[in-house]
Amino acid sequence: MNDASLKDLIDSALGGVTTAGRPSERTWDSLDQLEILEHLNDEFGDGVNEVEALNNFENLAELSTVLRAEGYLD
Amino acid sequence: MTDSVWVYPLGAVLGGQPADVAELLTEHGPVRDGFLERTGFSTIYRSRDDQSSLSLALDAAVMSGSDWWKEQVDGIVSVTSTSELIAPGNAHLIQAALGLDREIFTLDVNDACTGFVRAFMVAKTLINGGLATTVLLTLADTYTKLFESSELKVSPLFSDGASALLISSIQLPDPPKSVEARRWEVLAHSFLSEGARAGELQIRRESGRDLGHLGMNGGAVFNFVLRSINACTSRLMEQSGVDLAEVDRWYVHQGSRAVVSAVEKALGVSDDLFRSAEYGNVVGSSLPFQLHADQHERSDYLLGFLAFGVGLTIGGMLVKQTSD
Repeated sequence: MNDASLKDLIDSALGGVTTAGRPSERTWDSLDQLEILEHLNDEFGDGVNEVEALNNFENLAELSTVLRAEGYLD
Repeated sequence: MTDSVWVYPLGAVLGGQPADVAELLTEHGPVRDGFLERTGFSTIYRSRDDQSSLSLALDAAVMSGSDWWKEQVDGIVSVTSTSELIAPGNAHLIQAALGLDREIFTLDVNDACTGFVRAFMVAKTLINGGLATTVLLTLADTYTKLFESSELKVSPLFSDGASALLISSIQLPDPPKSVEARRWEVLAHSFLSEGARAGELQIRRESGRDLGHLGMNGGAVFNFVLRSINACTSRLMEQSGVDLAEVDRWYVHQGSRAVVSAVEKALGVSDDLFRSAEYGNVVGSSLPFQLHADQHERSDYLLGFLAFGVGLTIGGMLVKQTSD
């Protein structure tokens, strides 16, 4: 998966793009995290939920760093 | 070895103070749109100052009266993680409060959301091992005493409540009409634990808090459920030879609407398994509350149970239920 696809996945997980902007570009709360985690599981399978660093993330930069380090992001 | 046991749901009670969750969020928010929908609970129940896990357990135990079973009980398993005394545990106090026989096997289990599945297997094992014939199983907690209402990571979720059941190797005489006996044969069980993740959901001792302080990293718990549920259900299928699609009814721990929805997806079910919108997450009593509500429905069922939480741990079992 590349960065653009990840942003699309997150936007889809969080209700889509609105006049307020792209959900992937804002800071996420705990409920946002649950939605994103579920979509990541759908995309990558159970293994992605083994990544400890995914227990806490608040924005795209943090998430991208973790996923890239684990080989899920190009 | 007893292949099956009789199960009698005795009672299910909630804390004495209902609280509207929308009002809670308004008072301590703001929260973003969709918060209430994703958490799922419209009302939570707090225990009064004079209520405890012990008092709630007793209330649940005697809800259908007690004269018809008291003399039969020779074992007590009490599940709580919010007992007011560090020792002795509630099981001994229940024995005294109910006037049960002195010759009795008592066991206290410090467990939370997976308490019913785990403690049911313990009770059945006690019966199989000849330590008891009829076990009183109580599950009771007062989690709302573990945090402030302003702690919105937990306060919109948890309720105080208790449940009680009898588990017996024999069919008990003359239960009241309010109690429907069911025969259960356990086809499979599965328990997974990750103690290394204990810090993600725990009650810690804290000065000024008699029962401790609850802390939860919801994301970490959710991650645990997502990565563990398939392993748990696969083991259930392997042990039983049953395809999950054959399960007639699933009972899932009601952590929140979000986590129950994720479990529904993992199980591939179209049924709405979120049943607790009007009373909240009652911790170990979450599955018994659903059983209590269903006890007068069809009896011949293949039941699936899944619970997850403090540990971190997940527990599941498949049960063949009949009425005789």
